[in-house]
Amino acid sequence: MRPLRLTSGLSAFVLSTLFWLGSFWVALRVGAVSDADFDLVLQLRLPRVILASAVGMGLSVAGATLQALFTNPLCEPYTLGISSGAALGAVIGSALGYDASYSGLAVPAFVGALLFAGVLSVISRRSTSSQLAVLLAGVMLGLLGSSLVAVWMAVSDAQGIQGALIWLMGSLSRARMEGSILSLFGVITLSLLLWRKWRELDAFLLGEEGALALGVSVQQVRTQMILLTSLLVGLCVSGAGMIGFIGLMIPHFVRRFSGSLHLTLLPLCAIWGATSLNLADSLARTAIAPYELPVGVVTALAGAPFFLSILLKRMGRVEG
Amino acid sequence: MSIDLSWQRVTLLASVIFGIWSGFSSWGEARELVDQSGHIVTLVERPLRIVTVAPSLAEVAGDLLVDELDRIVGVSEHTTFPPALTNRPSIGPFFKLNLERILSLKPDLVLATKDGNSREEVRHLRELKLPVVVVSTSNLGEVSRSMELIGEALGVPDRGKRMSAQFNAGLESLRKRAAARKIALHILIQIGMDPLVVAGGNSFVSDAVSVLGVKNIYQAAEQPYPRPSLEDAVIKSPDVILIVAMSSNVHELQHSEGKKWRSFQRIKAVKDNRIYVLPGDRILRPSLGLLEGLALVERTLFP
Repeated sequence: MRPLRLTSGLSAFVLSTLFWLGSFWVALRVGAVSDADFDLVLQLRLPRVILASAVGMGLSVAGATLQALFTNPLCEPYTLGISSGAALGAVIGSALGYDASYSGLAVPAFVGALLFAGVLSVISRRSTSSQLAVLLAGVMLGLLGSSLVAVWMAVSDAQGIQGALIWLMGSLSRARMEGSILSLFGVITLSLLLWRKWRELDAFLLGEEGALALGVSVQQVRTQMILLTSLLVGLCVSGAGMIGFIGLMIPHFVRRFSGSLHLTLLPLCAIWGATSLNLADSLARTAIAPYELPVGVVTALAGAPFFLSILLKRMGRVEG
Repeated sequence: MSIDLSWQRVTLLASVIFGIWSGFSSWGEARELVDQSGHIVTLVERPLRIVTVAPSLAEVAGDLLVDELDRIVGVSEHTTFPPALTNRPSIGPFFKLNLERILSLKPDLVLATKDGNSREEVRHLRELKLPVVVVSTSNLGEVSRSMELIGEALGVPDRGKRMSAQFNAGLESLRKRAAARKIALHILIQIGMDPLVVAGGNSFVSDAVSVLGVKNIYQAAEQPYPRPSLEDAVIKSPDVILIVAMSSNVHELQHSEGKKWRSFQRIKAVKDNRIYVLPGDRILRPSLGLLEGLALVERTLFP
């Protein structure tokens, strides 16, 4: 293992935090109104920027964790269908009337995420074949979840359709101050709990046998991680719907300068996840004003080509 | 130069300021109103910065404030009536409001509708401490009541009552003519093209068209705007297909939709060549303009 360079880790951390603060500032400055007064920024933009930071953080940390857990660089909550499970849970929760309070939806969303992640975990243990099988299973689970959301859309009223689109394509417009702060607090807590296991996550990079050889109780750690990741995804999706590819792109981007060790990778992923979703949402809010683009569309426009490029690189490696 | 602030002067100044302040506050005295979503809304006596978040609301408010349209400071996209309001700042389309723009207009009254605006967005506006009056227009009785409510909210209750009475009288004369005709037509009211969206019995459009004595073939549908399969529409074989054009391009729709329907010759309306396209802005808006729209439908169906 590469020795940890503490000073370079720290400077990357400080620099990244500055970028995050910069994105925070940009997101507070831009919007549908050019001369926004203090009240407007405080009431509408600040809750939204805090929620964007929380969700970006949560999705990136979840993405980095899942990539280690399944030893597959293409894994993240969205491609594995876990987000879709959470959205299904949230939609069912909202049909049952849980959406009166912001945090009310986090519980059914967590249950949905956990259910899908559990199924995936079972499949991954059974499949002796390639990593691709797990990914394909994830994509199928994602489709299943989205289709069930669509079924609910078809049978519900016009208002339901509008609501369901937010779940499927992601939107931060539901942000409220209390909910955003709660989300940020929750995401940071869960991320810290995941971060505590950085050694185990590093061991997972060597594969299951490698981790066992290093004395990691693979089954127990995996169960804990899946539970924590599902909580994280449930929290993010209940606040902002399904936002894809943040969990895929950010860990890859951060590994370029921090390396693969989770002691530095996870905190940097958190900061860069927050930064990128802040910027993506600023773009979503302003690109076609007075209309708003779903933020999931913006992240997918950048993320889907990125996914393909990683896939092509890996295929090239296998063939060559 | 030094300013001598003796006690008398300070007292005098304070009483003048208090006098002006109390004068202003009684002028903008607060009152309470129960809207059609059951909410109690606190409003100033005479709102001067009104934002309407659906085209029909701009139309009703515009008709009621015909000589003081400058009180309406923001409207939703696609607001066409009254024409003077079309250049007002836009607050986005009715189905996705731009809350930043609404808040920046500092409204003292926001008019919203249960039938079109998202519940979540209305709730958000209320949480932002904006006085939101919500109307409901799912049937003609509610439309009539919404006119009175908007009049009360704007501080012109008498005009609201007059508008509502005029609306009801207009409907009554249409009903009388329908009763005299004694023709029972089965109608399909098409709202959306691809996929097929129709007006169900629980929509005010269906309620309005049935005033003319016609029977909606989707009267029994639970949803206000259901999406039946084309097969189902073919089997129900309506006498008339009325296509309500959301866009302004009536002629183009006449051509494209007419062509689509004509491949189903077993539909009575197709056989009898009774497929009509009418502009939606007069039929789909629960306002006084609806009477004009219904008169147009009447002329079209019973020439």
